[in-house]
Amino acid sequence: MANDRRENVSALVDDEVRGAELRSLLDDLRQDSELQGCWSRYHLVSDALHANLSLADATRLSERVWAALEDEPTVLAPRRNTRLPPLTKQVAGLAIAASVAAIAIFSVQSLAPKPATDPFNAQVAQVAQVVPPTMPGNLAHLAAATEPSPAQRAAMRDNLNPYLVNHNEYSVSSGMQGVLPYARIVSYESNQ
Amino acid sequence: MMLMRRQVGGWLLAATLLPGLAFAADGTDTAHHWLQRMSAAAHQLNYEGTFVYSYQGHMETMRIVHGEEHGKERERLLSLSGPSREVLRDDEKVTCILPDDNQVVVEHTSPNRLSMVKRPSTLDGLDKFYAFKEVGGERVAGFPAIKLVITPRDRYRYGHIFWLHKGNGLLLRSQLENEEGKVVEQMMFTTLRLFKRLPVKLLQPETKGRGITWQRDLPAVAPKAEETRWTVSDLPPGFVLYNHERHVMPSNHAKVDHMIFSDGLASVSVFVEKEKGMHPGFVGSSSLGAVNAYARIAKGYHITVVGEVPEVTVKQMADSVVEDNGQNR
Repeated sequence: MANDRRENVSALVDDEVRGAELRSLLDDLRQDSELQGCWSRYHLVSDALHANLSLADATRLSERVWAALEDEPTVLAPRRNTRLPPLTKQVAGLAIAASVAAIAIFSVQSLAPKPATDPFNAQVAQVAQVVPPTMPGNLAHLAAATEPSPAQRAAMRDNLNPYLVNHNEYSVSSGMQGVLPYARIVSYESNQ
Repeated sequence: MMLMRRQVGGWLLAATLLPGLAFAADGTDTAHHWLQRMSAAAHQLNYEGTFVYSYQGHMETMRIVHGEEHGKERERLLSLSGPSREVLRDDEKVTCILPDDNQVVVEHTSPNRLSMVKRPSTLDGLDKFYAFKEVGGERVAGFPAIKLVITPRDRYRYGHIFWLHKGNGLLLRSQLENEEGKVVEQMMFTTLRLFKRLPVKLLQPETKGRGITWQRDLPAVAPKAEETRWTVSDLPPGFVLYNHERHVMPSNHAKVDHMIFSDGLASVSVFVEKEKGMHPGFVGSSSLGAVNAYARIAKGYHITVVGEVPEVTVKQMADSVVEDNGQNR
């Protein structure tokens, strides 16, 4: 039951509780110090995921996020067959802070169905799996929608790859943005 | 007094150029200062670090080593997740070691590249196309960072958020947003070590491929006067030609015209080569995270446009590539 209450608090952080449920939850929050703790931890996690922590908050971020996680394993681990709360979607979709990135991999892999041969592709497949395909504007969904056929992909690689290397070599932003252009090349290579 | 006049001048200029956005003047000056520091840091610092790179639901961890000595740069990038891939670069060439393909690709870079990449960016025109804002401080990889939000003023370019090392300006984290405000690409350092002098062993390649095929390209040449030249007739506002040269592709020895356009922040490459009869090239749109590509065939030539800009930009440029009849020279 306590877990249900925590999930409600998680929903409240995401502004998804309405009406009578909202009133009863707020009553509980006023009285229950444990729930109040959840409330502030979920806000911390949500802030970390949305990357709007101030410098002061970011200090000791990873310890605080991990502490929150230890307390609340059920919230960050995506549930099967149920609609994922937005917080979890963030974790499954894009990881932001370093500590949070570690969490994303951890929580996604913990319910991995079966590892594929390529560890990288396996991870992507799992990420794609836990993200509901109907979620609008989701990046994984976007990638799936524009996924070309294997033949097209081979053609794209053959034709675009040398261009991409050349573009990155000469692009003005290469001079400014340090590692980014190379990250793009290396990463595209893995995406065959 | 001098200072005051300059400020007034700045305000007037801002008020004329950017009606309703006059308050940008101050933030823009700071932003330019930071962009210049970022650019210098990318070339001059000695560092070793690990970063996370994510796009379109993919996520990768990579390690970077960068060193500079007597004005010469060396760099090594190694993928830590998935199959191991490594890129080694110095001022003369770039070597990609891809053990899955049993391939090492070496590209020699022309002197033009160096002057292009290392010259200070022209930031003056940027304000017309981007709004700059410095918002607060955050911490990245254990270092205090300043956060710079760069918003495009039209649909031809993407928005950036840069987190820069407060002490030296190094880009610690970057986020690229598309025309809908969605994040299409992210990079963030998770660990970073700065050195006064880089230990040499850090630059030794780690990847070992079997049965490696070496491919070497030939040096780029400037197009000859009598050969067909190309131009982009309908350039999106703010983009100017930075460089035009002819590469010989290592894979098929085809000659390719390569034009680079930039608005000072984003770059777009236009490639034109003779159509290959046997193997028709890729035609249409493609996107690879932040990079959009669009290709078409016109008059027996294959035109490919690639850049970290929205699809509309690469498409408009590809569609308006025409033979330069000399009037534009």
